[in-house]
Amino acid sequence: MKLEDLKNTWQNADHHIENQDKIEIEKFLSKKPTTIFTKIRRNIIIETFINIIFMAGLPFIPLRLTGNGEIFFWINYGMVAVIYVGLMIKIRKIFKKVIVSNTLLETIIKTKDLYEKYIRIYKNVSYFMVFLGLLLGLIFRFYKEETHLSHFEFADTENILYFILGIIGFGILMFFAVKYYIYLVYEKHLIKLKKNLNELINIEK
Amino acid sequence: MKIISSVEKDLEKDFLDKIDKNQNIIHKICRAYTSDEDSHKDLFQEITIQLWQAYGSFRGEAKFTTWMYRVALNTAISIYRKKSRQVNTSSMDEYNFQVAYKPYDSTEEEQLELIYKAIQQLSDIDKALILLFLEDKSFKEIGETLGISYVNARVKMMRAKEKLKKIIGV
Repeated sequence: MKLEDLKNTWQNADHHIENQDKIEIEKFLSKKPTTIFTKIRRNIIIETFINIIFMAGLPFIPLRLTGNGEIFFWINYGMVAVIYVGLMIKIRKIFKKVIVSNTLLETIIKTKDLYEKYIRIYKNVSYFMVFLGLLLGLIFRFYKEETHLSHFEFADTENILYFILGIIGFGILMFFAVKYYIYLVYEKHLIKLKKNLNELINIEK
Repeated sequence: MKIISSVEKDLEKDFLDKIDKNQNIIHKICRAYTSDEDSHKDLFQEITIQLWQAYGSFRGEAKFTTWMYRVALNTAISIYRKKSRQVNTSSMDEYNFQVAYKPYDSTEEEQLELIYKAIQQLSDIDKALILLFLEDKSFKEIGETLGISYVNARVKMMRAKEKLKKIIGV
């Protein structure tokens, strides 16, 4: 059997499909696309919703911060809010762009660039969030109770050491957890896109 | 307003007629790029939506089927992503049964099954090349669809055919 024979079979195969119950296309026209970008958008909405709940509930945690602790807390809180608003604006701009182009190469490049840009922003924001989260942890640890004095002045060295080690350990754990989540949900597809792009442009390999 | 809605309706009708006549192209691409019935339907829907969204900018410079191929391949390779919860549980036989269940010439059916099974083992780019080869597209058209030069299209096609021959054993 030659490839040319397969070509003939392939071209004659149209009647097989015509024999099937054809899909009613009309019902698809009003539906929303399910591309990688719409999935990202859905993830962003879910993640933002969770973060808003967390952020809104944070000031009601029954740990009273006073003096410098309160100032640090609100600075931290404000930073998180600003970062999220910035992220939303940036991402909204990214997804307004049209993806499907005339050629496959152009579409892959556009999709890859856009996706890469999104992942870069998302990664940086996530890492920064982990850092801010740790900072919040420190604020709660050392500025709780109704005192204007930091807990550094009361706590013994051993406890502080354990706490700092715990915070560092938690930070490292969170860093890798975020990294793995981004890989699992987003980066896998980027790797595939890059592979396809390399295959398309690297004629010598 | 009435004029606009009538133009839109005409456009929609024109689109639906054209797609209906050429549904087989989308089916072939979906079958090459997916491995179960759910994904097939999912990709089919996605390609149709993308075609509809891009239809307004279709100027008729290329043949409708060529344009369809371009948008469909772009969608299947670049922007389509399987549902994360979707688990590939159906076997290949079950899948084939769903795609072409009417009885027809068994030799032809066997050959077709062989082609699809072989194509599914290729990379995304090689799949596109082989699909275009099977549709008897010229190297110029293949180059234009993929966005590579005529020479590169020839070289890549040669390699893709070699891989296909190796898989099929011819």
